[in-house]
Amino acid sequence: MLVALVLLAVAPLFLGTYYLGLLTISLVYGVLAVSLDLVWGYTGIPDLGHALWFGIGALSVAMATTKLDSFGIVLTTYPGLGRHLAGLVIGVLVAGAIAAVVGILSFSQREADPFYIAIVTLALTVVAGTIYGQLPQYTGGDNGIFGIAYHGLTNVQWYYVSAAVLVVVAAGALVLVRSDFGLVMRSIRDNERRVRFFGVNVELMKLIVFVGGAMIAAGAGGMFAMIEGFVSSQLFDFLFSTQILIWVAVGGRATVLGPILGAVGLSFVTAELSSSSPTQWALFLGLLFVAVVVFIPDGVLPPIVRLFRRVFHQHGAQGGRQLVDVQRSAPELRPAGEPVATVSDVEFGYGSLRVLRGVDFEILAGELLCIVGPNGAGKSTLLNVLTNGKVPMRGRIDYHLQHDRLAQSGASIHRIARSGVARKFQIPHLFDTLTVAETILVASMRGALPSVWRRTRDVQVGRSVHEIVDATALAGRENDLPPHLAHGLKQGLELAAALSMRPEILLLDEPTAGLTANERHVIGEVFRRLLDAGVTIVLIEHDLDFVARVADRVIVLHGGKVVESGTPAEVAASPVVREAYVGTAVT
Amino acid sequence: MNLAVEGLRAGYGSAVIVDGISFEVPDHGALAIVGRNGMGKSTLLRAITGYLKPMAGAVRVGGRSTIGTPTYRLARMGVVYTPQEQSLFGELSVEENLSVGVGGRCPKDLRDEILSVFPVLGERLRQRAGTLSGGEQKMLTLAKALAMRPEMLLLDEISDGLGPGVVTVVGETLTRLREQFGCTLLMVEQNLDLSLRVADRVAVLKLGSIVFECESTEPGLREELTEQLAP
Repeated sequence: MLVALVLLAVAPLFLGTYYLGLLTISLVYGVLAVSLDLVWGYTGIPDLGHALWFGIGALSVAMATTKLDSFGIVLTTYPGLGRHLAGLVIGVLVAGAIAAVVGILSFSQREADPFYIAIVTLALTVVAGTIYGQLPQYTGGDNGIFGIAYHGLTNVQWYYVSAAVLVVVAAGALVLVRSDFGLVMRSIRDNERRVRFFGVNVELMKLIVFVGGAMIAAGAGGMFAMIEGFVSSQLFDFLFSTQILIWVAVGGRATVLGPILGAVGLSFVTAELSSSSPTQWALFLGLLFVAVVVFIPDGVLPPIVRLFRRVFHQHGAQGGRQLVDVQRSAPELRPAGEPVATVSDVEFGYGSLRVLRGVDFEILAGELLCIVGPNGAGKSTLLNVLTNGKVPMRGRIDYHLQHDRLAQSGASIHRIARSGVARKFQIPHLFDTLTVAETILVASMRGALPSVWRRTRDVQVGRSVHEIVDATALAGRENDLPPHLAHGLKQGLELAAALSMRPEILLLDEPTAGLTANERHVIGEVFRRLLDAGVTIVLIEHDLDFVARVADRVIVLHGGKVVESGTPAEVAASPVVREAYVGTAVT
Repeated sequence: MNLAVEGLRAGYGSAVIVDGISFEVPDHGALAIVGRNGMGKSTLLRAITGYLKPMAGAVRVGGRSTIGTPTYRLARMGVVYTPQEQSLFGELSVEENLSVGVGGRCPKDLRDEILSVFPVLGERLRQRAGTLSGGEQKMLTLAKALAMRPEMLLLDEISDGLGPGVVTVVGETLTRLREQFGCTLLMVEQNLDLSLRVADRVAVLKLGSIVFECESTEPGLREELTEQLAP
């Protein structure tokens, strides 16, 4: 890193005018690449039209500093710094505003396909390139606008300005991606659906990053116009958008420095190839990309970093996170016995299949309620409908939480999670690049807006989380990634994450599946203590011995309806349960 | 078809998860491997089936070394593996899932035979597999494996998420599969009852090595195993 900075500082001494100019512009491209890396690399928003924001910044500077006639011929130029800067600022604001509108429209669609934004941005960049030619009185038409460079700085001065801007942007980006905010960005990229159940407002987070990325790109575009002195439809179009994507992908997605390397390196390679072999350069470039994709799919930077670490025996600069115990005063919860949730006559299904056919029950504060029933009875669907905000086909669900009374129907997933309803899924859904401690950290934030610069090293967890971590052999593996964890450990992590949300109601889908008898025992004890603290637990479970040991009340779901309810002993004696659990089909 | 594993070592990156494991499952035999979480059970199966390239050691199926044999070739040899997570085609229907491994439409008599084991699947032939409940997906996973008429079946925690009634049925089915078709079984399990009922040998995996192995009819084995599995 230091070497790179020194090289950056002394480069003008060794480079001729041509290469210095090329390097200056490629540093501006570096800023552009970083902005896309934040949006696409870290947050997983596939912005296929990132050039649009760059173009808007450049055009804004051009419009602020020139007067055009109706054919797009420049009549007057205003060389003053004031107008240039005003154009740049306006460009940044306009790009931010347009990005906000695009983002609000594309992200806020419930359950929107993540590729929705890809189509929208792709369409926008194509449309922008076309419109550009149609409005010569504003844009200069097909010729673009020339002669708008700011001449108040020499080439060398411009070089240092670009370098300084890039260093500041890159440093800011590095701080951001290592902060808690960056962690939540990655969690959205890895598993957008899951992180909603941790209370994260995914739409808002994506909007912030998308708008921020657009504004940085527009700033880079404004600088480009001031240095190069022209703007044309090429700065808006799809080809340039693709090029930015390639810089990021080749350099190394989600590394900040990789995309800069990609932008600078490829700018030089392109310039060299196009001058040495004017006809075949595009072919060579194409082959280079194919080679990178085939041989180093992570991009150029990650293997270099790995090699460096191996040679110098260094560990990741990021350092690990650890879990630390905190004593929390017990939260105020509703008095035991009062209903915390009422499910009335709920029907729900998928397509033509009706899974729940009129389910009625109450969840009482401080109880442990078990839901049992044969496979396919609708148990998981019931938990889904309790937490995912989908409006049931009939009936309603109401929560009466301590600080929050809400009707489930129509509330967003993160809203339900934030008000104190935590959930563990039947099949672990975790985050590929989030370590055990990081997963627990994101869950424990419970949707609070994370700091953009602070990096939490000590993840504060309550006693129950620690016990689960110890019992399921997760202890000592706080910095391991889920793909390296055995199935049972993933189950343990799911449970620990749900507990770290400090929930008022804990909904657990088969918490003991994949766990050994001993682990089950510990979990049973943890449940008992949570109940003593006033937490309400609802769990789906097949192990009837376990149910008999921990449950206060059991409801039996069969064929989409509650067919029995009572104490474990009462329910165990019921014919439906006996038949279901002996394995004969119940008709 | 027998399975012989010698000095198998496997892991991810620099982490060795399975360290020098040797065992043999004779033709028509059934071995259950039990162990706590994170001891390398799934990794072992992945290494045997070629999903994960072993670092060292030998795997022989029917006397033939299969290290480096692509997984699809093993499947064609009759070695069928059901991974613990995600082995269905969520967008395909139940019926299509049954047909995929067969390489064509699943013959009707075979299909009916399989569905008689899991009647609930028969009611849902046209339903997309992804919309089945967790337990039903597990049933379909096993059904899909059965449809391939395996000569050797490698099961990764097949009982996980199944109701006790269904687990009983699964146990009976596996036993019949051995008796009628001479299928060789290697099962990784948490469920001791199922393991003892189906397998004729049981092995305990601890920290990547087999620390205990014996006949499943051994008296007092259940207590012994419970002891072994305690932390």
